[in-house]
Amino acid sequence: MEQGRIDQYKKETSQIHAPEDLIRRTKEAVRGEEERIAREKAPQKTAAKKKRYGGRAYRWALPAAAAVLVIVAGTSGIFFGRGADKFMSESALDMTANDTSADDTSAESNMELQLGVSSGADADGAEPIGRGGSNGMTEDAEIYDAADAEMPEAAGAEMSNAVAEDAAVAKMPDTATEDAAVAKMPDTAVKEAATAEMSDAIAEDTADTGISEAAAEDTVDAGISEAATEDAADAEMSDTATDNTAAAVNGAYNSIAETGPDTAAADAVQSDDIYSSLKELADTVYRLLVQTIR
Amino acid sequence: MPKEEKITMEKAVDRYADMVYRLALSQMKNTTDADDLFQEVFVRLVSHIQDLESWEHVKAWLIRVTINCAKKHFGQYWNKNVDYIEEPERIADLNGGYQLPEEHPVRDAVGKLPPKYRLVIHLYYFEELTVAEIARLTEQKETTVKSQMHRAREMLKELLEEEHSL
Repeated sequence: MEQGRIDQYKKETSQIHAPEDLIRRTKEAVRGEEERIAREKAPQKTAAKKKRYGGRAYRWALPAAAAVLVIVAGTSGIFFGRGADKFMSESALDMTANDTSADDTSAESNMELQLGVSSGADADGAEPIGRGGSNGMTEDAEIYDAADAEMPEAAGAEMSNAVAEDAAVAKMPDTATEDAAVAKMPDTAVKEAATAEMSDAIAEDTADTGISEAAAEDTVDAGISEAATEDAADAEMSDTATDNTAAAVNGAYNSIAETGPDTAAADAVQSDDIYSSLKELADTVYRLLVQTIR
Repeated sequence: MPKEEKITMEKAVDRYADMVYRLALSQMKNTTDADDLFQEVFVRLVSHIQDLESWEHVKAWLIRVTINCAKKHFGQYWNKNVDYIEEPERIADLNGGYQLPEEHPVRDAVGKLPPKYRLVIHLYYFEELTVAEIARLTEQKETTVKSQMHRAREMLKELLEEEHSL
């Protein structure tokens, strides 16, 4: 379209204006429509208010209370379960620590016993050997009982390895002396008697320091037995016997240490059962409450 | 940036009354239907004005609704088969309103075009909308709008040549 025609079309069209009367009537119609919409919205608001406050007020209160109850029950159940868990685990740990420290005591008593035997043989010959051995064992038992009493329970388990290692290291220089003393022993019978006393002393030490039956069994299984002791005596208190004894003690310690996690695992299973049963109970209560509310 | 004037129905009617009326008249070809269409469009705006964020949105909404209402009007059986006779005297009697110019050859020629061609010509040359805007408002493809523009120009040229030759 030519520009002239376009301009003419614009000019002709721009002369058209909406009639004032039409605009006035339209504004009135618009106001009427606004009022109608306002009237429609107002009853909805009133009805909504009535609906909200007409018997359904605080509709959320009962479900909220039920939820709080469930949460509190669940939380207390969890705490109780964990508390019992913790208590039982701590008890198990205490027992393990006691057993371990006792075991360490007996192991070190054994080592000291051997040292006592060798020193006694060195000084007085056959007779004093037994006395020296038993005296040494008694003193050692007293010392380690005191040490055990002073040692914190938790630290006892951690320290047991170090103590055993220290004792083993301390024993090493004496091995040569011990061997020499054994070589000097004139009478095999005396030596056997000393060995018998030694076995008795070991048994007493074990009983005094409170090794549990399991630990004792483990110790027996691991090789502290009369046969082993006799073998050790037959081998004339050689290094091999000493090593066997130390290995047996270590085995016993390890077996006792392994009982800790087993006990904790059993405790965890038990607490899980408690927790799951509490959870089921809470779910049931919640479902009943929701049904009641509905 | 200056704060835009608050959108109210009163201001919307004052601002876009002429635009809506011209578009309604171009589509309806008679003042009676144009008046009805004008009122219907603004009454509809009442329930939608709170959703419109700017005056440009209001303008676009009014154009689209005017077009749709006009289509709906022509879609009815009665309106398809009835032709109105323009009454210039009645229009001229409206005080403070408008009067059709005595000589309006181009506008008359545009009025003789089919409604879809009238619409694109009015929006493109008078409202000065782009092809893309027209396509969006009429919900058509741009190529369709361009094609309609081309056809409308050809028809308008023929009509104006005929009139000129007369």
